[in-house]
Amino acid sequence: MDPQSLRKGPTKPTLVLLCCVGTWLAICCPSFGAPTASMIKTIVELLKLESKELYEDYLKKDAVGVPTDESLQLPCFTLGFEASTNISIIQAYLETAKRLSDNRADTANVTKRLDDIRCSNPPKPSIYEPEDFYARKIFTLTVLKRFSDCMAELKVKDRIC
Amino acid sequence: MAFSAVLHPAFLLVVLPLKASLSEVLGEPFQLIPEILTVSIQSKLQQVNLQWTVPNLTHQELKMGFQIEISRMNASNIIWVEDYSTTVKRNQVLHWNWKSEIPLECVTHFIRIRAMVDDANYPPQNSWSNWSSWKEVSVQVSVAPNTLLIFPKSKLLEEGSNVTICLLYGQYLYNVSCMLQKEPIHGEQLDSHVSLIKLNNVVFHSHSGTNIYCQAMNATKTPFGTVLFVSKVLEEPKNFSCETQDFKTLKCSWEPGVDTALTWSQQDSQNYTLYESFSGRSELSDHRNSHNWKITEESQETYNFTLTTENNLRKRSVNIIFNLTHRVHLKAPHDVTLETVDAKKANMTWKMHSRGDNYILLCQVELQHETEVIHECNVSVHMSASYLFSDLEPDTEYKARVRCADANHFWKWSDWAQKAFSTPEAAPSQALDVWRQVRSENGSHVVTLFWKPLLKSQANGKIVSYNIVVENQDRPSEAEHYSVQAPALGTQLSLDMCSYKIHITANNSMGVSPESVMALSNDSGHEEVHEKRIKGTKDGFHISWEPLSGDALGYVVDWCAHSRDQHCDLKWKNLGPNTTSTNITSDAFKPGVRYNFRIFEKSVQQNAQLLEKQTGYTQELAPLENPKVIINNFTSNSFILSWPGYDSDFQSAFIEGYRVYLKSKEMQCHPKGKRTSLSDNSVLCEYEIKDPEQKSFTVENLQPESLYEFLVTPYTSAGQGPNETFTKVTTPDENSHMLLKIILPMTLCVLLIVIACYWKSQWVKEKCYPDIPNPYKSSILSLIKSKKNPHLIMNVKDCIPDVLEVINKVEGPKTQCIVSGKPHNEDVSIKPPSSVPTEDGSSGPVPFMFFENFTYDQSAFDSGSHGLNPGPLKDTPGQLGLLTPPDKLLNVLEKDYMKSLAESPTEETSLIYVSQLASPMCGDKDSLVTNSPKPVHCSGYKRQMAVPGRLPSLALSESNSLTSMILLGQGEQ
Repeated sequence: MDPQSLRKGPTKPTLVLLCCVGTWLAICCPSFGAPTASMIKTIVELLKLESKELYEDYLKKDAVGVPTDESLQLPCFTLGFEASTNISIIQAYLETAKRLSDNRADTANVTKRLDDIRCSNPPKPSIYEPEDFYARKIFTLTVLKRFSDCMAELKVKDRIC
Repeated sequence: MAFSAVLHPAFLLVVLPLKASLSEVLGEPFQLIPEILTVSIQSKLQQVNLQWTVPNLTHQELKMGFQIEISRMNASNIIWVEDYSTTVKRNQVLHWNWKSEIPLECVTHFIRIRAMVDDANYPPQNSWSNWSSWKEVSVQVSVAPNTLLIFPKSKLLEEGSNVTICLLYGQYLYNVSCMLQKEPIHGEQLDSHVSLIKLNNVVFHSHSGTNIYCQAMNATKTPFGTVLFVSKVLEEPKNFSCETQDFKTLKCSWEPGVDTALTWSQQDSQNYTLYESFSGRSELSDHRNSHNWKITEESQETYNFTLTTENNLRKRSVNIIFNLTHRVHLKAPHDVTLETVDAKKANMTWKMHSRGDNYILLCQVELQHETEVIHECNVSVHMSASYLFSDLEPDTEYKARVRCADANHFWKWSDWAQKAFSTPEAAPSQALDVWRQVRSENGSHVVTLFWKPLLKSQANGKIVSYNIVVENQDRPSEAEHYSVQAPALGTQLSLDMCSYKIHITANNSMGVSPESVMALSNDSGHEEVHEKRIKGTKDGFHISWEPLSGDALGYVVDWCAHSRDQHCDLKWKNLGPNTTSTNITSDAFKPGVRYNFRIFEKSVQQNAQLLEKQTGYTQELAPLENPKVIINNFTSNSFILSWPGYDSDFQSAFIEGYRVYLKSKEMQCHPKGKRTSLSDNSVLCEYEIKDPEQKSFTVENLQPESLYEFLVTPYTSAGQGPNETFTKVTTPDENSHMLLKIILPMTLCVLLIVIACYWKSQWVKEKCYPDIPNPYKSSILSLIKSKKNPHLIMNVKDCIPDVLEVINKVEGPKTQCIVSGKPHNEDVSIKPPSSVPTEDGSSGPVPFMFFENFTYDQSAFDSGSHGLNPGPLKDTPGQLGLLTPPDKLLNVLEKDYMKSLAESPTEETSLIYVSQLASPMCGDKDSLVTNSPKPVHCSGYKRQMAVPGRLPSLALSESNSLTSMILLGQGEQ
């Protein structure tokens, strides 16, 4: 065996190429599989409609005379870099509302849609869950109303993040 | 110490019976005072549980009564007293509970108890024992300042029940208001920190409960509220029954009623439990409305079922008892077969799931045709059975079905088992209903045969073709056969004028129908009868006729619509022999369409003779269109309107006449007409033509050169035709036709003359005004002749020139200085001098010298003035020729030309003779002018130019001008 051949590693141009490809992949990979502009627009429009329906349906069906809790500050999101974080928080609240309402507010669909427009997957926060049934209704109604208001104000952009 | 411990119980054992015996001896009953052990609370149930015992009970068992008192807030406020009796055993702990209507968190309760022996073995007692001491019953709840607590929390209750809500105020809180599902509710203040709201007859709002929401002034917390879980009332199961199909399983079913489930598992859906009392088995149903119960004991015939439904609040039960053999719901029949025996019969067989041949089953058999049940019957059968369907229709689809039940103990029919089948075809059973239409054409009969399709029940299958046999009655051996393929419903035959008998049959795959026969006589199609008008109704027409002979076989009425947009779809109706009228009804009859009816009488020989023709409308309508009117004989005073092509037969009603409307400025109506007005308030004259056959109308007494508008519209019993646009006409001038008679021929004559002149223009020119006058024809000759001069023609050699003009060769720039005309240098030598009047009036700048020749100017010659006038002329040739006397003209010429000559002494000259010619008068060449001094019409000045002999080619080049050149010295013209 030629001892010279043992020393032969990747040549300089190969290393440069590998470096470039790696950088390119790092930049572009998140965009692979990301929703297109028209998909985002469609999903956001659907979310607007469905969030409003969810809130109105729950209010009419289960929460007549129940006030919302002004102290519960559900974050809204604007389409931008911070969207994923806020979407995760909203999803956590929506899932909690579904559970606390004993599935009377079925937020599974909107939660999935939020998944579709989310770019990254930050950890979901833990949400305080009231035990009293009346408090549960307040919580659920508040979450649905905040989410509906948030979606109503959301301006559609081509990109989420 | 040990000793005393032993002594004390012994002492008690001795003393207590002594005490009891003493009480009995003394007559004082011994009091058994109950002792409260514990008082506990179940907050969610708002329940107080009391446990006590009766100490010092001497008997092993004793029947006792207890009285329990409960007070609220303070001991003296007793709200509940209850008696409770039971048998008390020695050292037994007794239990009793009480439900508070007010949540126990809101207010403190107190409880005490007393007893009384009520036992025959015990000395009778007349009074209760002493009360036990009060025991406080309370739930420790602390209310923070500025907050509110609402009780009960998450209470489950049934719709229609009552509930009391309790509010506990914290410190500093005031002005509390509450709402139940947005409806305000009001309560009563129990004390400064407690108020109660009583809700009666609560209703169900949602499976997630009814919301109560309170708010208060000075509250620091979120809104206060609670949820009441109001359940719907549990309903009793309905229509509970059990049955078996196979004696192995009982299928029990019921209607469950409303679901009473609530969210958050506050109450699950009610469950259903079946309990059979004879077997003692109980099973919880997996379904809300049914349960399959296994039959384990084959010997058990009777079953007693209790169905119980239960939720957190209530339990309900229903019960049935039955014999198993009376609840048999058989399975549907199986192995159903259908076999067609012939075109009208079919046999059905089937089998049943049965317990054996000993069981008699009742089966119901149905036969359906096009979803309609046409046959139904019940038959008793055993395990297998058959049924024969008869009187079926050939070539028809049927559906047979069967179901069975236990014949001895009818419970329910089984499900249907069905089978579809079709019967085979059979030969058509009915003769065709046929009719004909005959017309004569080119000496033959054109016979159109029609027949109606056979009904399905008559065709007995698919009709394939129709056979026609035409039998010549005059030559019986000759019969022609025709075949018309279905679905045609008619055909056309061309027959000679003989008598015929036509036989028509319909064929299907199984055979031929009975034949229909029609006879044609020689005169068929030639019958002439009067047409009668009839009036139809909305439903149709009533046709009546007079019979022709007494032995008619029957009558036929045929008809068709007389309409332009549809062909005659002939319909007919066969009628019996004694009929003289009939009602013809049809959905196809339309208002405004004329229907023509013909009534035929059928003879025994099958010949049909036309009796009557009738025509009418079901409803007459106003005409849909107006006739197209033509104007004839149009004069200044009248014109004739005619509408010959108007087909009134296709109108929407019988035309009763026509109305002619005439509009004019004068509005003077003819006496035959009347003045009327239209809907647009325009006034006009109306003329009515009452004869519908009259198709023309003369409009008279009109003014010449006037505008008239007219409209011709028909009218019927339903109204007149549409109001269309009036046609405008203007009457011509009275003399215009006279003028036309004169002007037209004159114009033609003039035109002919012009054409002739043009055609013979050369001849006319030569005759009237030749380019070179013929001296032999000159008028001078006549003068010479009159003077008897032997020299008819002047010889040039004999001529003494009176004026000689020397023409110089023209230099361009100089000539341009003389006159302002357009110079043409190349034409200078051949063009006439500009100063000389020419026929076209042009003048050139050529200077020349005149030699006047008086040969042709007698007056000038006589007067002795030679009239040399060099220079340009002022006037046009025409003026000169016609108005200026020759002597004056010469004077002018002399003056101007001499001047021109003097101005060009060095120029090359040529000689020109200017002579006055007397041209012949137009139209009369031979006549001569005798008064020469007078200006002569058709005369002109001819220029005669003497040119050198070396210029021979320059001669007579301008033939069309009045200028001619004479070659000097040649002695010839």
